[in-house]
Amino acid sequence: MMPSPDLIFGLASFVFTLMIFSYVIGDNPLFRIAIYIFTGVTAGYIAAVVWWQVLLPRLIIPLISGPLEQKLLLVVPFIGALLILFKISPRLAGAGRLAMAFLVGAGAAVTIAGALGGTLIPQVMGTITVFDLDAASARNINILEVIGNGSIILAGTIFSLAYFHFGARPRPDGSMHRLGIIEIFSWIGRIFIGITLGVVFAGVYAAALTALIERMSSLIDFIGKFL
Amino acid sequence: MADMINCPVCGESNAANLEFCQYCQSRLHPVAGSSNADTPITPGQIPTKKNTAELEPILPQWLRDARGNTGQSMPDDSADSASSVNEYSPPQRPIESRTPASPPDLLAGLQSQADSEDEDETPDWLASITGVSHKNKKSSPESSDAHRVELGGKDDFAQDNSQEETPDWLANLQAAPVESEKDELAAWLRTETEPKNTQSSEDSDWLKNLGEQSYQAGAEATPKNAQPSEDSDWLKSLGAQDAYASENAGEPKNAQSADDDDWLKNLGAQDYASGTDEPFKVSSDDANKESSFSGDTPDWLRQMDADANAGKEQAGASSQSDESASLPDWFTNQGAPLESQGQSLGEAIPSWMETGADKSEATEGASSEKDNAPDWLKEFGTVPAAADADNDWMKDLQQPAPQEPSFQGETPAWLKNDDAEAVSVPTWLSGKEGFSASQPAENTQPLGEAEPSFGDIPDWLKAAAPQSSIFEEPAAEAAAPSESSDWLSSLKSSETSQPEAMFTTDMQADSESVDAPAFSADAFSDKADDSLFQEMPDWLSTASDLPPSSTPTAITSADAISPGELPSWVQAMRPVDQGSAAISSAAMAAGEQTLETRGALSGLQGVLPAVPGYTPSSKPKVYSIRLQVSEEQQMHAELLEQILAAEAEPVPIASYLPLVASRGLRWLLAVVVFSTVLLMLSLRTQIFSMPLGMPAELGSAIQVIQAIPEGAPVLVATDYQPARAAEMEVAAAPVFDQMLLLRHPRLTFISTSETGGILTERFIAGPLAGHGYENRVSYLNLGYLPGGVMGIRAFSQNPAYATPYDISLQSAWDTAPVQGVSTFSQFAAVILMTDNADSARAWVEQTASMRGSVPFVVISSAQASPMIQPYYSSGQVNGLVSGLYGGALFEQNNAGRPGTARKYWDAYSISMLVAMAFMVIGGLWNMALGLRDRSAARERR
Repeated sequence: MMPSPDLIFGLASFVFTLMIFSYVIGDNPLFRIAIYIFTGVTAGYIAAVVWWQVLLPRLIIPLISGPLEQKLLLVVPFIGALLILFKISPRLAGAGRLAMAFLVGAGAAVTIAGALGGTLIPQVMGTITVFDLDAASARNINILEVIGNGSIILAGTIFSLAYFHFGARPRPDGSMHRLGIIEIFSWIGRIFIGITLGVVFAGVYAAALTALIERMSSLIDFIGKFL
Repeated sequence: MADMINCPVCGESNAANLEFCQYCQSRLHPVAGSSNADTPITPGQIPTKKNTAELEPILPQWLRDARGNTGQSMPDDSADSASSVNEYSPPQRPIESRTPASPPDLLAGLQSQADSEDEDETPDWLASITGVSHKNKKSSPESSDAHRVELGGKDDFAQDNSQEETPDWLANLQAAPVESEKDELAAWLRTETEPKNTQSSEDSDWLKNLGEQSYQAGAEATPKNAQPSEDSDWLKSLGAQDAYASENAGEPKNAQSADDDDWLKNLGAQDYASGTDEPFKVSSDDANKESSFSGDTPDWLRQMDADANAGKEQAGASSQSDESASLPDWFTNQGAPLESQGQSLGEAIPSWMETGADKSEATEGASSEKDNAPDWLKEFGTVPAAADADNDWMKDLQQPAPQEPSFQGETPAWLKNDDAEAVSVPTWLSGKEGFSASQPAENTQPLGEAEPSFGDIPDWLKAAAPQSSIFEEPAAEAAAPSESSDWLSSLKSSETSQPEAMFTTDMQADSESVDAPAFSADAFSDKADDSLFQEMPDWLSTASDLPPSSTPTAITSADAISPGELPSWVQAMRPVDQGSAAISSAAMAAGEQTLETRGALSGLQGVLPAVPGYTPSSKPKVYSIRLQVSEEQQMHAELLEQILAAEAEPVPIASYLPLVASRGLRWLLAVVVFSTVLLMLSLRTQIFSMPLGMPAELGSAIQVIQAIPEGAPVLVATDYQPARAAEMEVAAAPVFDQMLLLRHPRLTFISTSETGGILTERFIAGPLAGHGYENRVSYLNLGYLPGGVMGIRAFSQNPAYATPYDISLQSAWDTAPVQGVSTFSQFAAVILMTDNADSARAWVEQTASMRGSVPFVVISSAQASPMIQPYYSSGQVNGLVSGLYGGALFEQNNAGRPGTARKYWDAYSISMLVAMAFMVIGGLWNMALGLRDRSAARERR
């Protein structure tokens, strides 16, 4: 009787899960083996995906069978890709600087532009609009809630920024201290930051706990199939 | 401190008597200082002028007379000589007779001069002796004027050689007419001719002394036999002449001077008795000359004659051996043959004269004679066998041996000339009967003719003549004969360039032909008389001005030249002279170069100074090395020193107690969590109720999902990792379940993660498997979107160009799921499934401008939701579903469809409670520890 693929995959999943759980008792070969296997499989899968989904259909095939203008356009990325390959050799790494410079430059430009238009300005505007009563009424939000939420958001933003304000003045005794108001805001800002980090930690814990539950559930399900 | 001087270079004090600084070895005294005249001249020292005229009194009378005559006949030359004497004077030192081993210093220079290639610097008087140039010297090494003077073998030498190679004085001697000879002859010769047989006050004292000494020597012991070895050349030459006269005894001698002394007569008789012919056969003319010549017999010869007679009387009947023992060597040597022949005067005959007579006897006393004869006479007879290496001049005498036949058989040319001129006989000797007395009266002609020629005796020979007083020297001081010829060897070597050998007698043949005349006629003929005194040394020429002294000063050893002094001619060879010194002085004055006036470099110009280029005029300043620092600077220095020291000191690293999780606690937490989850999942309990309430972001997401048009294309971005797949699927499944159920949207899946494509298939095949969605029909899996944020931006700008193919490498944009979609904004909604806030931010940022009014709902992991929440607050994200909690809420809005969220909710809830409990307990534990520490600290206070 041929084992079903579900059984094989389930068994493999069960074994690897236990191997990862073995980390509870500390670093051990089972954990390392599981890690190495996952890393290798992931790398291989990524390489296959890049070749089959990127290089071959978007560079090789168009260069071979694509139209002339497409070929001409693809010569540049092709040369850039070859130059980046020179970075494998330390002696020839300089040849890939041009392509890397282009990538870094283009990526920096896109990121900065997106950050400005997609994060910085909208976030500033969002902080301001929390007090927009019209918008709150449009969203059926109580005015007190709007003011309360807005005040907390504003306070949290200001105090958190004040915490990262490191400007200080020297005192007669030689010690350096920030302004008193900055110190107060910073102290309040630390509370907001603490809460935020707590929330993040709770989210991480919740995510990890969900994964644990899913793995335990899969183990139980796998074992339940054979019981 | 008065005897202390400071060094001009280093400034140190030195004793005044020091010549060089004892610190820097620099010269303390100026180098141009005058040298001490009393100190002997040393190499490198400037020769000083010496007026040798002072030496005139010590000269023998005959020399002074000769100089006087020379001054009269050759005023120009005398003037030149005088000038030269003024410039270079001979050292005030007579030839040292006590050291026969070493030649006199005056002659010692001849050796060096002969060895030297620099003939140009030869003094005139020395050149007149050698009379040769440098080239001639090399061409005829065996020729020697000195030899010629001594033995005078004219035909023995190549007389045909050019006159140029002949020394001046010799050339003049050969070519000068008799008249000029007589003119040039010293007046003393004439004056001595007149008072015949009388003791002339002008007779040379040394000649007198010679006779006396000869007599005394005869009374002395035989050890003085070696004394003749110290005889000067004039004696040797005379002996040679005597021998020559004996050899030529067969020649007719026309005249015999009546003034001849008895001993000379006896000698002549001895010569006859020896069976030989007349030693000299001179012509009647020559006899006439010789008659006058005989009248000039020196006193010393007369004295010797008298002594000989006295000695004969004293000896009486004593044996010959006794006589020879009591007589000087040269007397003894003569005595034996004389005695054997019954000649009374034979005892008194000097060896040089007796040799002729002796050798004329040939046989009888030859061997015994040689034993007692002076070395130079011995070598005459035994040179071939007993030729010492020291007797170089004797060796030279042997070399012309092949010419002996001509020497004996026929009269040499120069001797023939003697018949007419009778020259070359030393004046001091030829003027006396002595010379002719050794010959028969008629055979004395050559000597009479050679009278003036004797005045051509070289200076050195003249100077050596008075030193014949060596007869007075004790026998113990007598040197070996070989040593006595050293100076002659030097002379010979200097005269090797003579064109003609003047002395070519074979010594071995001499024993048989000793009668050969010592002087050839032509050797003292012609111009020799003219140059006789022309070549007079300077010091003699200068002395000619002085009046002749009737009582010549005896030459003593005190007047001898000190060994350290250099002869004048040697000094003349020095590179320093007045002219160059003056020029150098001018150059020194101009500051161009320095002139060394002392030391070994004396006379050289431009010698590097002791300290090149540095002549400090004063002592250098003394600078204090003490550092001038103010107190403030010193404080700063100390501070800097402390800082540097602090930098060098090791700083202890503060150790902190690491927060190490307790193994027990870790095991406790793990067991509790694992057991709780396992228990809740195993029990499949639903103890905990689903969450209540609806967050605004979740409500907004529900609204967006419900607002999606039917069958509208919906873009779903699946950017999460496989490890978060369970959470993401639990959160997204209720959303997609509701949406698929309600709106049947055409889904287009794309991912910026490489694993996004496979996770999409897993999600479709897993939680959404019940909806029956198929690839490229109801959904399109575009797979991996490369480029990160740039890929997202490119995709938002032109989705078809950025992702032309789906995950199966097929054209994507001609499929149903994306039908009617060419731009990003044509999607009905954009749902982002991500576990990373950055991915959500990239999608929000890069698609904001292209998205337009397209609703954007984010389904995120619980760990990323706090970061995405602001985008929802800002309105950039229209809905947010976060984790299991968001999925559980959303499930409650799906009309009660069971979902995965509920399955995991009890385990999740109790695990969250356990975690909260642990955190609270942990917090309380830490608080308790803190309170304990504080109370402990308070108690310690």
